[in-house]
Amino acid sequence: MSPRKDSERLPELIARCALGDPAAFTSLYRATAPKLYGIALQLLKREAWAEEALQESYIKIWRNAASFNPDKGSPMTWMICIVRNQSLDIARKTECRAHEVEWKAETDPRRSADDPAIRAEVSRELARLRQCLARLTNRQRCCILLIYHQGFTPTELARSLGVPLGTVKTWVRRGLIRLRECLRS
Amino acid sequence: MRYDDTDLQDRLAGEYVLGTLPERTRRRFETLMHGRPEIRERVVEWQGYLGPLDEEIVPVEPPAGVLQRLRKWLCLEQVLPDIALR
Repeated sequence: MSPRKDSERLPELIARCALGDPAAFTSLYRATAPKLYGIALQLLKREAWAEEALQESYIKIWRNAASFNPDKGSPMTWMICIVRNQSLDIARKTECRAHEVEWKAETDPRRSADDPAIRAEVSRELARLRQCLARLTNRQRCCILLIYHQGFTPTELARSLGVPLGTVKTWVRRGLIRLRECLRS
Repeated sequence: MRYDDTDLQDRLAGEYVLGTLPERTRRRFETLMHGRPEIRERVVEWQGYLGPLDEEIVPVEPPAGVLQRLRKWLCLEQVLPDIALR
């Protein structure tokens, strides 16, 4: 195995997948699947659904590898976008998701040691984003994080917070605008 | 055309990356994005804003069966013996 960091190998692995190289697919999977599975689990809270999302995502990654353009974003961003959309598709198809929570991050023994909660250092980008999130109102921040990390829909949030849907949509929209202003400044 | 409105492009791109677009709107937006580089750029911009949140997600090792099934479905099994894949 190459001593280079995974993140440096990914564009090459994707390019080799585009050429139909099965070994590249396996290496790409081994280097990235734990992160993508973590994201799917976080969004879907059920092992079976997260597995389905993961499988469908890698089928897309394999089939669309040729369309990946390293000049337009990192490989991880591209793959995370695929797994997030796949997970949201599954979440939207299934009802009462919130009542069927099966998976909890805190109690999963398979979580790797690379736990950001434990790890003292975060990237400069995440530190900056956290600073900007802290400047939003509590409601704006909570809605944005619950949607991004937990896959809640505005409708679900409106119901559980007991406010009209339009109110949640406004919080989200204003929150995003303020967030961007802060990140750009 | 409606999608030439840069404010609308920006709002849709932000909501696309956040994950609040309803399924049909999202699919339409994705189709649109492929033919319109300026919309694609807005999405990349929003991925840059929100993407750092992905760092907060802890990796979890998926069950071994997933890779096996994928290799079978994608017909990758016969092409190379497993020993070459280490």
